Amino acid sequence: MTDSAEPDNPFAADVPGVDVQPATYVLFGASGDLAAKKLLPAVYNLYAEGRLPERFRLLGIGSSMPEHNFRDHMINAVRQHSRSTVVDAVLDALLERVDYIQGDFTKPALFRKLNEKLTAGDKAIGGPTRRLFYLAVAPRFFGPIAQSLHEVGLARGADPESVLMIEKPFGHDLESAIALNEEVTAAFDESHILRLDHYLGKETVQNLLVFRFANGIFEPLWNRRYIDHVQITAAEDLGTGGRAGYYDQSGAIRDVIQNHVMQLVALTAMEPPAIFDADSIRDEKEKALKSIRCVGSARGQYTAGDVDGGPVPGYLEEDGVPPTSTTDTFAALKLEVDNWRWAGTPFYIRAGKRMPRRSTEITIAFRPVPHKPFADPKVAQSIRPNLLTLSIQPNEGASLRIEAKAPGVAQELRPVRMDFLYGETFTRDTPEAYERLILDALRGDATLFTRADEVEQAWRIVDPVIDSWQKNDVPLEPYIAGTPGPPSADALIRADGRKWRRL
Amino acid sequence: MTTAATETRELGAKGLQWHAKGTSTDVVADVLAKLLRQADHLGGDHVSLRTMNLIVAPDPQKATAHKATAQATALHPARMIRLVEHTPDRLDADVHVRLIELGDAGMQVLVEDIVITANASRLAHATSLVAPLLARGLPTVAWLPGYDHGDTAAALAITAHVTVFDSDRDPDPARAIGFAHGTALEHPSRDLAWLRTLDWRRRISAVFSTEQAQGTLAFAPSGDVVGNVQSPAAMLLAAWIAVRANVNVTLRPGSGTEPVEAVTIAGIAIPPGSGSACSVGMLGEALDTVYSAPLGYEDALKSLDRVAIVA
Repeated sequence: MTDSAEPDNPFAADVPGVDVQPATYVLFGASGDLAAKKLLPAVYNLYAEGRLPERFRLLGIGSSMPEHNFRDHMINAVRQHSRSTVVDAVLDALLERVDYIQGDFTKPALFRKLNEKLTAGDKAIGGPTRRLFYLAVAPRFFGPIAQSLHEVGLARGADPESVLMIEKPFGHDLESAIALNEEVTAAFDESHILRLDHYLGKETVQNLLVFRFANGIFEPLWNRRYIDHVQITAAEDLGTGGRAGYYDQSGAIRDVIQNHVMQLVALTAMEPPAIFDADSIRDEKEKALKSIRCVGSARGQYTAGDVDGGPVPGYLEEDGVPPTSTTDTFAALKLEVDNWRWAGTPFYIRAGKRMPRRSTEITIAFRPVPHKPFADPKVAQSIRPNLLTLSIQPNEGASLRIEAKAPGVAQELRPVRMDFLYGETFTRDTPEAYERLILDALRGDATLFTRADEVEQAWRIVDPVIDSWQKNDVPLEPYIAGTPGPPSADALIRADGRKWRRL
Repeated sequence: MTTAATETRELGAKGLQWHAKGTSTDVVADVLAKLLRQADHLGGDHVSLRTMNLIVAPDPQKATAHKATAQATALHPARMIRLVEHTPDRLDADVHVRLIELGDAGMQVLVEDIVITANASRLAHATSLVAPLLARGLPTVAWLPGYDHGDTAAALAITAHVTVFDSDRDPDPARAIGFAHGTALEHPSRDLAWLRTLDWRRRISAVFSTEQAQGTLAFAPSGDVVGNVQSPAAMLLAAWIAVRANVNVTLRPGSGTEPVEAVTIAGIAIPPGSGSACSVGMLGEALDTVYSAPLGYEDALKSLDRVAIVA
């Protein structure tokens, strides 16, 4: 019982993280693969853990699945893909909050019906709910759906508030990205558009800012004076993984470099934000991206080889890949960052499929010591520069390589690593990235989402590279599956007297 | 003193082991340092990593603490110091340095497992036994796997930054609550019985996020918890509801399958969750929270007298 005239939740203070306002999660593409594998199980887990508000509804929208099939579809999806054990009573309680509409995304009738359902749903659960429109559909529907939502009063200026959430690809070049941004911002305010890049949900990526700006020892060194160069690698050991149709249209540069890797570059290169909020961080990332230009590149396509102890086919032999495809399955770029902090310190980035192992990491290579005071020339020669490596997957953590004296009477040096691992290693039952991102979207926290100007700046950097590749100024080189890319990638970095980190 | 050590030229699956009867903890500390140097010298692509010291108190009830700690330390790499009681008037020790695999990329991590076996009078001075063996600069967690904790537990509670125990393990709830009062209110502690109620607390909070639900508290100021009336977890949850909502709460017996089976507050039934974790998993969760004190626990512990228990 409370004496207050305005009741308050007496339990909330002891249970951090339950601060989501009443919400309706409208899932376009609810009958699709992403919904079944990731999104519906994510909602179940959030609900089972009590992380969703009492006034929560899920409204699925699909074009092909009849309404009477959706309940079974959702039950099967949750049972097959939930990370936690499924409890019937919990799933039944969630299903009471679930509704579904079958309709054509391109027809106004669907959106009128959606509007009616939302109004009726709010009434049924006792008050207005914030709307999160999640578009798990092909990118060609992003603009038309946003526009249709606007036409029925569910976008800009809607009361209750509406948010649009979309996932890459955000265009296939700068021009199409600008066009897409114009389409969606015609319907929604930029601050209400959440562009999802799941790399930003990774612990190490989020920790990069903490690492830089909460430790006094790194930031003073984080500049051209002490850093020789930066390497960023996003290597996969897998092939196209059943996505040949999509992948052949994008290649490594559009699939990984333009979005995930450019976000890592921006977080590494950015200036400290004045405050730790979404727009301050995104302002600094955009400013860093604006300073970047590509000054060299290499591209490759894998041929048959060995990965993980077994033979694998070449890219052209993969199911669904046209036999004459010239799509890059490996891309390496040398970037210059034209600002006071980084001028003259290049960033080398690479991403590829069918590499020797799966590894995404940022490596900061410090400059060598200016003078080696050891009498023995062998000792002096053996000194290697310090390396700071931030691993993003599969093991999240950080590692610092330093030189140390080997025990014994001889003056012998040996590199040693100081390691710090965390993330999935340290946390039991790690929530799926989608759970975190859905929860952030429901809370209205845009920190882990990409802004339109960042997307456009990233395309501005890679577009000239793609153009030069299309003109064949940079030849497509084969590399054997299970090796770390084509010889031209080695040549790109070796020309500067440096070499890639071994994969 | 008799000692035995495995001689090896590589750090294989068995790792490096050392055993001694009638030794001292200073010797054990030296041996540990030597084995770590040897492991490093043998090389290999491994890392030496620890996030805490984890002291495992003797378990007179022979609970399966070993499995719990093995699982928990795989998630929180720790220097593990296990205390075991025996009757001879001497101190024996086993030191085991080995590699475990963390993560899906097969990262090899070096872990240290020290077993100190001593008689009761030595264990009563557990603080001095473990002090030379602690890795500096890391938090020290004392895990009390049994329920009849005795002097060793009291000593460890003073040494440790955080003491972890499970009131639900004790067949005598009054004794469990008494220990919790004596320890948790004096030293930073994590009672797994309380952690076990987290999902229920989240769902209760979610339900009472609406003004409509909050308003009902004024008109129907009562709560009902159904579960195991002998379970401190159920008692603590009921007490928490009572103190936070300022309502009268009754704890009634259920089928006995779970500590808490159903909760109704002001006539509103709280939807069920995905069930509580077993104590093995909960140790890992307790270690997750070494740096963050459990909110609401002390108030719940102090408010147990507000719960009416129906036998």
